[in-house]
Amino acid sequence: MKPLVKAIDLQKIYGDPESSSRVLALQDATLDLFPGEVVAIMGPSGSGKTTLVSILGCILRPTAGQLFIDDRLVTAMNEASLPEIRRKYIGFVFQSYNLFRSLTVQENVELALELKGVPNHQLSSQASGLLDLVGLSHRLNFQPADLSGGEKQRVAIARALGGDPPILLADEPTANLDSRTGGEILRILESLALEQKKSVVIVTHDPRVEKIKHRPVLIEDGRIQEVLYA
Amino acid sequence: MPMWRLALKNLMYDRTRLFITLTGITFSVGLILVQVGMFFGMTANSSTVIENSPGDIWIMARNSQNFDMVNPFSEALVSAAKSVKGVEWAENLIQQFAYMRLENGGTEQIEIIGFDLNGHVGRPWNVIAGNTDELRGADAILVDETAMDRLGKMQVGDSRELVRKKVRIAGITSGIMSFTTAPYIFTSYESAQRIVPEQLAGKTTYIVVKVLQDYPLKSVLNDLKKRFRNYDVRTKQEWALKTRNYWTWQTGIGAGFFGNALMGFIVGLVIVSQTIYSATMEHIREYGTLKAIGAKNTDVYSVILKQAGISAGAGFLLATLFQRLVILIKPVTVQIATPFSLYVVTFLLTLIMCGLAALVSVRRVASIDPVEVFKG
Repeated sequence: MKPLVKAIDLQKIYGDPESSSRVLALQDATLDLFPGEVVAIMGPSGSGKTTLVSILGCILRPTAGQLFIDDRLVTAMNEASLPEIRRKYIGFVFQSYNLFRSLTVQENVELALELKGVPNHQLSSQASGLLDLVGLSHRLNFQPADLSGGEKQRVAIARALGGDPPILLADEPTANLDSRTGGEILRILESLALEQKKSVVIVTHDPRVEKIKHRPVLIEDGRIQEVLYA
Repeated sequence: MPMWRLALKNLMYDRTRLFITLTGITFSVGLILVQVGMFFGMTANSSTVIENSPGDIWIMARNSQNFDMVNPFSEALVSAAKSVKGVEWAENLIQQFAYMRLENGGTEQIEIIGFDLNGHVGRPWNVIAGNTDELRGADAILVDETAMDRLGKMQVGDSRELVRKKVRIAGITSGIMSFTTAPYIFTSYESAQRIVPEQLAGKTTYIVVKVLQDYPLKSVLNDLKKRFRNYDVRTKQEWALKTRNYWTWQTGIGAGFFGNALMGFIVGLVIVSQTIYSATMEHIREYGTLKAIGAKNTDVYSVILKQAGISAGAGFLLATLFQRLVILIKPVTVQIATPFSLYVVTFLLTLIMCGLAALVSVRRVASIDPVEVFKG
């Protein structure tokens, strides 16, 4: 099967590469992501997980290496072209949810849909559909502050699904959740990979990831140590 | 639409801050509206007799600077004006400072406008009691209602002493005020000369000329300039403008009013900058999230600029209400002009003010690295 994302020898150095204070956050990272799979990026704090997922999400440029998304060499693109890549291909789920506090649940999803180019007259129905998918059709008019952590993360997943991106990048999506809720979120992400054929990348320390079908990727000191196939 | 909603809801998220923002804009823009409106009102007063008189060309003593300060000259010269080709009519008109004795024994300075009862120029307008025909015969005057605070209450039929002459109140006008604040008193040309004979016997202060229809004004103007070499000859518009400019710039009054308006603008700018910036900082992570999920920089800027635009619109409406309130409660002697153009220009200024205020926030948002939102 052809990979949707192909990362070749990615390297990221923070600070001046010539300086002694530079930090080598990622080196020689090579990775393929396929539709319909969950990739769990695991490793200790400071190992480069977030740097890797940020590069995969096109919000951070690697110092060296190549990144292809859907056969497009995004590392060769200029800065102005990257928002379009993010809109078209990528949905983000953040550890701290990052919902817009002043908007309702439905409005949060509609905002993402608008950014992805969904016409105004379809915003409401599509947002409702996505929230229904994550089991939140009864919370459409709630403010984020009135939701539990698990519900907030479900809203974040619905928002990430806006525009039907083929790649979902989730950074520690269960870190702020209790055991049962975290398990539910992981199962939702798994079902999106299996049923909607999305490439789901989860950065996690959470051992509950073992309970879902996934491909683990271990990273340590900025290097991908081992790509284990489940 | 969701972007507009985000801008509006972010703005309303903190009601206290929104209140401070709108209060800042309201008083800043209200100050501009009131100050500039008062300035326009006062400068319009300065040329009000010129503007409200027919006639195309004004002749006056040489080097006259404004309508209220002119020297008398021979009234017989009106014949010379009438004889110029293309002149339909020419009339004498008197403007003269004098004083009125008040009922309490004090005196108050007034400004006499003495006009030809059978002519066109200098006639009072907005007569709300009595009428101009009552000026015929015995010495009589029309006085403006706005002068009552200074001159005391008067009714048609009352008498007062003007300089040393007893005059009857023949009528009341409304809203005719001078720039000098000395009330205008309208009377017949002959009465004006009788009231102040030392200065005005056989003299006038203006000759006002009407040019025949379809006759070139410039040609008549040039001919009059040749004939009145020792006098100033100006078109009505030139004389009105010169009068307004004199009071505006040569007295510093314009600088004062515009200085206050500028201060209002700067204070508003600072308040709105501060509140928009603090709102931006409070939502900075959300702007980073917007960028991360695919918003272009311009999308993010637009949210902040929309907030500035909404603040400007709401603040301007409140400022207009504030100005209307000031107009309602102001003393009758203060005039605040409200031309439509004032509102258009002030609204644009409000948008500029809020736009500039948003720039600091836009610069901050431009520097957000979306990767920051991955940091829990």
